Amino acid sequence: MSDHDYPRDALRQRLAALGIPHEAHASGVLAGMLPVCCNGALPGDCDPDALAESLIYLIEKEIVRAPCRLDTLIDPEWGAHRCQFYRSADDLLEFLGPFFTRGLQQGEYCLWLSADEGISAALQTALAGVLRERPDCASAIEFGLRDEWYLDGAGELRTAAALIASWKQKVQQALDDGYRGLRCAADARGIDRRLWKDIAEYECVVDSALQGLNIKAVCAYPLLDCKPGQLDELRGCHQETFAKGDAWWHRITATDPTEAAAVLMALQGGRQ
Amino acid sequence: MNSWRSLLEAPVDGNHIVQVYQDDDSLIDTLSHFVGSGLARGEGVVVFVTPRHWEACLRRLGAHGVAPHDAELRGQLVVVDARAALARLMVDGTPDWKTFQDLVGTVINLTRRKYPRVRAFGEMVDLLWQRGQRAAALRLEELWNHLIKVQSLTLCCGYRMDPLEGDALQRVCSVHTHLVAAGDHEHLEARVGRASDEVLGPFIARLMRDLAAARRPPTEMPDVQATLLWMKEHMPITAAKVLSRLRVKRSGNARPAATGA
Repeated sequence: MSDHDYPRDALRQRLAALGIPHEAHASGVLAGMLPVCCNGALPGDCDPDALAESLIYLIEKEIVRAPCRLDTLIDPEWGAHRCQFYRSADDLLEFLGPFFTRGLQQGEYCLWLSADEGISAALQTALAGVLRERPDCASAIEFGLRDEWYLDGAGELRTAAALIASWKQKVQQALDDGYRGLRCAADARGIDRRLWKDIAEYECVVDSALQGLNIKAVCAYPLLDCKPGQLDELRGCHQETFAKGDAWWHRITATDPTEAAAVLMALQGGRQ
Repeated sequence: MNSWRSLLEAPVDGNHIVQVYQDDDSLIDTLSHFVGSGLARGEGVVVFVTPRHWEACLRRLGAHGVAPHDAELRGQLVVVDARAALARLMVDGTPDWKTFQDLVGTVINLTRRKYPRVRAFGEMVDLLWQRGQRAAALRLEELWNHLIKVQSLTLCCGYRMDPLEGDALQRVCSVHTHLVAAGDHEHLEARVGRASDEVLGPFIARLMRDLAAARRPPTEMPDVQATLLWMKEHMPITAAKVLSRLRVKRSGNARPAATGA
């Protein structure tokens, strides 16, 4: 690495002040820290000053937080209601494996609501290590089907009140069984488009209803299936939104809908 | 491009348009279009212009079949020498509101008696700007803005400056409602896109251009100008590198690419 691969000192100081450590200032690393998905084809000759200024702008304007590693995201506080935008099943599993492993290690009851059984099987494989180490945890994780939880017999979304009551009941059951609380995630892939409006309304209501409960909830939405308006709508009704870029994880904190949509569309990748 | 010609053709009261140009031909194009459209629409037209530019404008208007002398005779068109008017306006090195009102305000009021809608073109600010009296130029713009508030009026100004000169352009934009940069916008936009792609890579450059679009300045202007101003303000080192690439390419081009729109 030559000096030409690093931003000038004044920018490096600003990066460091924003939580980007000095060892991550090489242009190749900085490029990977920006919330874009280049499908693994990050250009190698980007100007380091320009990369640094872009990252500084995004963080200082609170459009995103400083990029982080997965460890930072897998243990939210009680009452958390977060949105993960994922690009592929691998992205989703990369998060779910550590997320549920941590829950099992911490004595939490875990519930995964999948869109189909394929991801559940892969998740079971991902959790095999922790379950081997702690066989007693086998009964602490439940694999359910999303539609059975969220939809009624007619295929309509259950009312927000009914769903919130179910969550509260599930949390109480976990506490009664001696767990510290409920850790859950649900996959929104392939949801019936005609339910979209009801789902968005439910997400907004549940966002405040979960606060104060011993629950950690993550709603996983397929990034590439969402339109810009939907991306922003979902961002607005979760306490935190995150997605994986090419190398780092990004927490989107923009309050301006256009800026939030710009970042999420950049994370969709493939746009030039 | 067409939207900017439409703006010059039929501006609404309160519009304070600035054209940034680097070659006289662009200015004359704007001036003749602004004046010719005003006359054709039955509006009163007052121009504070240098004789050299006005002569060129007359030739352009004549080529399009417009007869400005007839309009002058009937009081629809008033032509004032910008240098002479400016000399009268300046008191202790700065434009004076009372003199401005007496001179500029009176001319416009008199024109309005026969032609209720009035549009004006002013070069006085640019004369100050070219002399390096930038504070005085901006003060004169403020006087114009005050006049626009108290009278129904549309104003167009011309500044000879590089549209890539961010800081100065930002100051000029702050006292105008619309920016019209002369030249070919789409060409400039494509070149800015390529230069920012080279500096940041296409994916990141696209993100930053989208973010720039989210924070447009209050002055109406072409997207490419808004992006450049945003970049100058928020990413000054990057902007300098993008502009440097544009200038290098411009110097290698026969076409004056950055004269923009």
